[in-house]
Amino acid sequence: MVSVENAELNKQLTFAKNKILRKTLLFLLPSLVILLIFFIGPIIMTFFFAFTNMSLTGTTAQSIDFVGFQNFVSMFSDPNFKTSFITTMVFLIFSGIIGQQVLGFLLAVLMKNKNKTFRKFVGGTVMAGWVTPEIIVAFTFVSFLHDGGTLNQFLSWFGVEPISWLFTFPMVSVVVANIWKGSALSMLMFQSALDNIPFSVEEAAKIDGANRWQRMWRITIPMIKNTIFTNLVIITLGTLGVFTLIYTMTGGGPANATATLPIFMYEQAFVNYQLGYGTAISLVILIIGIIISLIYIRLLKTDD
Amino acid sequence: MIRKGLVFSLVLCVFLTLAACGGEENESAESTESEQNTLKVSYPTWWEEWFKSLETAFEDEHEGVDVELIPLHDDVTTKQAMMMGSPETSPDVAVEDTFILNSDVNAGYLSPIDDVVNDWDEWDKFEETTLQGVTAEDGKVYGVPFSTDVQGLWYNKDLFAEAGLSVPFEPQSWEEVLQAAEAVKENTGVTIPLFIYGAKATGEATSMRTFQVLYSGTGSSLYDFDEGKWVIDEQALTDTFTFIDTVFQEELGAPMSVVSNSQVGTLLSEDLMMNNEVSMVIDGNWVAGSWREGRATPWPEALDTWGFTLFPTQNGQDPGYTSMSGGWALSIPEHAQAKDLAAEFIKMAVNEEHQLDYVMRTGDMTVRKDIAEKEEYLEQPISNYKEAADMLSYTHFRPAVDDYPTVSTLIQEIVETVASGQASPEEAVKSYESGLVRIVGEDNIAK
Amino acid sequence: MKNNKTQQIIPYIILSVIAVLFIVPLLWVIFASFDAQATQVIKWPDEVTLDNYASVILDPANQRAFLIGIFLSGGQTLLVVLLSLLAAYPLSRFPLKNKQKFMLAILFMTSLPITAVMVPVYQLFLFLNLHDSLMGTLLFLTASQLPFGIWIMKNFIDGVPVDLEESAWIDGASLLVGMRKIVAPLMIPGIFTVSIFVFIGSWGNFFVPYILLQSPSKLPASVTIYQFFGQYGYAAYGQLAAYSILYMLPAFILFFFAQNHMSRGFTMGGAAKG
Repeated sequence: MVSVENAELNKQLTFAKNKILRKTLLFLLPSLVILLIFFIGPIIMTFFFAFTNMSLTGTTAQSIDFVGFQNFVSMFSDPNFKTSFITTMVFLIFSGIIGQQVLGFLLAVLMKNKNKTFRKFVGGTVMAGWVTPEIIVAFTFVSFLHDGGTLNQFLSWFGVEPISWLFTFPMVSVVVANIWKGSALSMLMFQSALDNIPFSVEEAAKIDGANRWQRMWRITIPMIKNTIFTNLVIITLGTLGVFTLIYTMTGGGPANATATLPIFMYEQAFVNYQLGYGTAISLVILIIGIIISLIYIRLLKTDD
Repeated sequence: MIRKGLVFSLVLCVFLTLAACGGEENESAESTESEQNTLKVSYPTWWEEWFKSLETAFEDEHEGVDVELIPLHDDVTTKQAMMMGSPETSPDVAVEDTFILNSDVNAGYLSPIDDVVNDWDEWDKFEETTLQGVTAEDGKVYGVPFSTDVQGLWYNKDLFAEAGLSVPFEPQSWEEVLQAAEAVKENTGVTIPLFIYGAKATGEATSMRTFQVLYSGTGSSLYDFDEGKWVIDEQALTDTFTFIDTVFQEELGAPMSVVSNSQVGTLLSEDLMMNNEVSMVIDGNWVAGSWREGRATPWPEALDTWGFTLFPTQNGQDPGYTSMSGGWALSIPEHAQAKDLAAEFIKMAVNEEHQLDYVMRTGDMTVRKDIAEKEEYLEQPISNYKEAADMLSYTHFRPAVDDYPTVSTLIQEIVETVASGQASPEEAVKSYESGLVRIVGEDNIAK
Repeated sequence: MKNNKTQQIIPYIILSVIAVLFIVPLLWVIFASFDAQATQVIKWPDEVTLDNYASVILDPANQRAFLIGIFLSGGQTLLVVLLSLLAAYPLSRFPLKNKQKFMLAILFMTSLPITAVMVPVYQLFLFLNLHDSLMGTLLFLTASQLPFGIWIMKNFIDGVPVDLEESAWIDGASLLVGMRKIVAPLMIPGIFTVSIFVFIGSWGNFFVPYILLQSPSKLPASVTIYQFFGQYGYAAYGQLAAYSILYMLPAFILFFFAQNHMSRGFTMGGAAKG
């Protein structure tokens, strides 16, 4: 029931409103400046320096040459790069996708409709892992898993000989630490997603005689598909960038067993002094990130 | 009122940009003002006390001069290279490990000090061998040495006696060293019969004190200076890696959890060696220094237990023994602001008094001929300068060429894969070959 | 009926086990920090002491590192919140032509692991003469989380009905007053969500300052605590634990204030919409 005058008035109002709002575009400026210099800048430089032989010491520290794809040729012939790539994927899949995602989901499902105090307690312990700064998580786990640490002490009650966890099972150790650190995030996201499923939907399924698993697979999971997906991407990319945790716990070792790409990049650039090569590895990290992002954005779009 | 918001966001914008660039200028302007009176000295933290004493002495001698100490914790060479890269962060005096000195010269980080040393009446008191380490490919001098060492074999006389081995121990080949380790393992309860460095975490120690001590005993060398090329000697490499492999796979060495501790050197001298948990260690002569009065763990009777002997060549081939020497020097960075003061500081740090103080503190070998003859030096408590001087005649140096630091990290990495059992000696040789090609290029390798 | 009861108990058991697994590693830190003879095994201290804390707190180098840490992480948090609030407002309210694309770009940037790409960042800092500058490090840290901040804030502002501001304008309130009085209070969950995320991510990160800052006197606590660990970590467990506890405090305090707003933050910001 909108009259012509009203529509006209609305139009004028919108115009006046936009006139006010147009000026707020300037609010964008500080963010744009910072992003341009400190975010876009390094990315552009990555593409530039990845093709040079720049180093931190030696002749090539002061005279940089373009070397074409040489860094990439080296990289793909470097067995350590292959190891590092696989290590990164293993770390991503086990600590991120399987570990954090599944444990977070499990926690959220199990905690649904439970006693409130109990929920708070369990949630609090899990959140404590997330709130603990990364570097402290690393110390905590180094001590916990140490030859004479709590875990071995506990196992010795069952007659198990002490195990050098960080050396015998280095990947398992960092994966567990990362799960401990990160699961809270998935838990929170899944909790809010589960809370948003209307009660009536589940009730209807119950009446239809669907059992617990059927309800989970056919109703719950499809309904929180979006959350699963968003969570997956956030976790994958967060895990891709993990440095502090692994570096402090194992330094990437033993024998590169936990040297994910960020660690490999650090070693080549700052320990082996090969900045150009390190930048090429940075570029690979970025490209992996870009690919994951693009897949994410594409899927989001088709979803709408 | 809208304007207020706009102004606010614009101001914020300008402020942020200015803060980014301008903040720096202010700081450097500030430092220019005071630079005449400030001398920035960077050094690895393990020399904290010596540098503190130098600070006091220098400030006493030069009134109005403020020595600013910049202790570096880890990744010392990397951090220092990053600092020397620009005038804002460059120290005035830098401590250079001689293995990287030449590379840092090529990078333009260091300034030549020929003018300083040529006019200096004490320069001819330095050992000629140590001057090699501070002379770059261009023939100029870029640092004043203050410390050197030799590597040999430390062995525990008590444990050897317990194992039924003869003391003094004078092994004539690698085989004899390994046999002794086996004997100790079988006949005593010692967990680490033969400690060698074997992980990336211990950096140059792994490359120099383990790999290069062994490799030099095969009679081969890493770099051919006549040809200007890196050498790949498959037999020598295989033999070297096989020794390392044997030590770790036969469980004669320390477990990886110990080897991978970057502070394992301290752990050895202050704990494992004192408590008879290890029977042999391939390490520097300075280990004894940590048992002196005034250090963390004084142990006056240490040398009754621990003997220090020459490390043999592989099969006892000429000259019978081998050793490696490292070295440290004080240098003046190219971007240093107070070069004259820096030169004064360096001269003071290596004068008779402070050099003697340094070797007494650390147990390192002196770089000065006049001190090497002094009774005070030779008769120091808990010292082994006679053995060390002996080793000096068999010693080798690391090839101070541009790519050495990168090749050395390659070596560390490969030694770790062998030590942890992830690669066989043959695979290790292959990774060394392909790694070397990657780093220096096919053209710079002689087979 | 019995079966049903077991079924009800099982989740409680599983959850309790998980909770214990999460709490045990932390208990070690707490106990060891008060223990005069701390080892790596979790145990109640035989001799309770505050010496570990005292030795950490009284060290002036630690105090300075702590303050620098607060400056970097706190400053980063404040800047990200402020800048993303400003940026998100027009992005939500103004009918920009390419808004969709812009937001996709922001989302895209959110996903890039820029803090893992430190080599070019270090080179950029050399080029801009910003290396060893706390301000420069702060701005880079800000940029690294800004896309995330803008993304979340924009989704939050979208959830605040524009009518409220319009009626405020009609009542004569200015744009800024409208933002402050109407939008900001409704944005509190968003502000807290962004704050806690940014602060926690930054507070435990030693990689970025480790590369960008050279002078030991400019290093924040995240780096010095790492160095402390490297130097004494294998001996002074009690001190390391006390240092850790002190270091955890700011994150836990912020979390304490933020937690009630966080679940709302997740519902609105987390459920991603293009």
